[in-house]
Amino acid sequence: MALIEIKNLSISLKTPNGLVPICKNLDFSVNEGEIVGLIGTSGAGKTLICKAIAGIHSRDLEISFDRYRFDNIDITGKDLPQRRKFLSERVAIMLQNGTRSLDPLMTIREQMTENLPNSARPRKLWKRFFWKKREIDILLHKVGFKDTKAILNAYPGELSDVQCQKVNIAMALGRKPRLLIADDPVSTMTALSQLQILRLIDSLNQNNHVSVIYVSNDLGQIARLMDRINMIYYGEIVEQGPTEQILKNPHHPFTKIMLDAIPDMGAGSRRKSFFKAPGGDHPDFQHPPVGCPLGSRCPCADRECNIKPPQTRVKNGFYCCHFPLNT
Amino acid sequence: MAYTITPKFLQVKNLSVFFSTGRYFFLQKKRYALSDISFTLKQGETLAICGDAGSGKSTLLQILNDSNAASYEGEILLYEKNIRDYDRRDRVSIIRMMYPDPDTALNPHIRVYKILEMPLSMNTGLSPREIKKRISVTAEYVGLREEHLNCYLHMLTDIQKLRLSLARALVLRPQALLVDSSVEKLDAVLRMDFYNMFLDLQKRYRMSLIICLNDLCAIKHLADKVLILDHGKAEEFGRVEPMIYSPRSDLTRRIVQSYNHEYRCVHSAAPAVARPLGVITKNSD
Ligand code: SF4
Repeated sequence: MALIEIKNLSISLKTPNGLVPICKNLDFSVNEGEIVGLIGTSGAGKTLICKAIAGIHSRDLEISFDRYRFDNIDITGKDLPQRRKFLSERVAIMLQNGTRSLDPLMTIREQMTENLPNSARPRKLWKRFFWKKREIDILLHKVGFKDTKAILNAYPGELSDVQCQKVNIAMALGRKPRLLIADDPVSTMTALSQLQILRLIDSLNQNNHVSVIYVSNDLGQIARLMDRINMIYYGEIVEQGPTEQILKNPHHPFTKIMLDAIPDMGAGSRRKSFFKAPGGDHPDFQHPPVGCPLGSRCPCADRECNIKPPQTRVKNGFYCCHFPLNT
Repeated sequence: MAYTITPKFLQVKNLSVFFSTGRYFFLQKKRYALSDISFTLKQGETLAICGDAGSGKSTLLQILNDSNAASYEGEILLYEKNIRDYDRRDRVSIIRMMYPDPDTALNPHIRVYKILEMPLSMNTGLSPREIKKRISVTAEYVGLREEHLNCYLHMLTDIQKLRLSLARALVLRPQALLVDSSVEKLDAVLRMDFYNMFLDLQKRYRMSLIICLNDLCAIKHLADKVLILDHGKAEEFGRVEPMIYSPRSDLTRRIVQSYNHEYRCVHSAAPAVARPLGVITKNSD
């Protein structure tokens, strides 16, 4: 069953020279209890899509959609403040920089106490004394802190990035969200810390039935965490499918490029040899390219690619390309 | 340049960086951001610094670049001469840093051409024609086009800003390049593009590189030596292969072991990652 269903999402940026479209006619859905990956290059609009879903985008963006259903409730007609209020009770967000998403002037205890919803208050009268304190302790134990007192009395600046991300997850857990949006939380950590955070997200998904939208720009780092992958290029979903299919036989050349960029640690790789990388940059949103956006960087491009490729449906997914691989 | 190529390009001996906290001098305490770090680097070698956020990677780079006001103990020797004894102009054309956050590090009021020209006209005695030529060569090398030189900073995309930041470091033809973790945040494809550029620079000009890297694969591929930092202390320093195959410190072993975690997708053609890890677990038990 679909938890989120968005039809025809369009995002455009207001500039002095008029509207610059970033996303056009994007259909997006997340099933219940699923981890969905949004994977694409930097500057492809992944973060904007996430912010549009959560309703926390900045003022200079214009967002419209035909239909938005969350948890079988239609919130298409609600205006932005109403939608934000509705979503804030159901969606939790993790950002790339864990320290920056906490208030630097409040201790962790204050922030966590403030964050607990009143609906979590126990019914029984004798359990109500100090329930917040106990609840916070339980939450911090769940994410793997042993010495909760030291964490609770610290300011975010005194903690490391990993600890802050863990606190973020604990705060998210406290609100009992239906959806967690993780915006690339592990990209600059060491492998050890990465694993801790990824395991936490996985257990959140398994034990608390939270659906997750995971945003990343590196397919190799986290591919097996996800159930379904959306590849994003130039604000469009260019390929969608289950993880196994994307990894084993990708159809779209962009997916292939991303897969090739996973470095190879095997004994066969010569040290200091050059990596395989297509040159060029992601096209600029202000000067949209003609035809397929991958155009100049695509190894399989031909004359037909001057026409925008249509969506082709395959089993469990789709791709947009004239010359697909592995079909 | 008049420097002879000595094997010892950069030596850092017992470097400790500290901040003084407390208002009055008798209440002051030293807080160490980095303590007791030593390493040596030959010319043309790459040093990878690995560590979490807050472990002192950036502080170390800033101290080497002399852009951090914190006081430090210990010695930094460049060509066997203390870095404090250098004239600023000389030092700047030996060690350059690629700033991680171009939005705040570069001047938004002047054109890109001027941004690239400034370090040249301030630190070298090149004629305007030479300056122009060098700028266009450098810009082309990092992948900026001719028309970008007339833009202002806000007209470039984030990636182009990063390329500009690299170009600004390279116009002076330095012998060592310091790269903060900015490249790590890029997507996999562009990251490879930057790594290729670094490799090329190293092959052509024997440039030394000091990079913040967390991806063990990339470390193994790019770096000769690796320094692992944890909360300001050096956990391990040494060549890369021994670090991966027989790590000495506990933290390093845990990092290496957890690299190949269950969520990572590794090429099917590379089973060799699992093998050394297996060896390590046997040794450690
Ligand atoms: S449509 Fe053409 S240019 Fe676009 S991805 Fe497919 S082959 Fe490449």
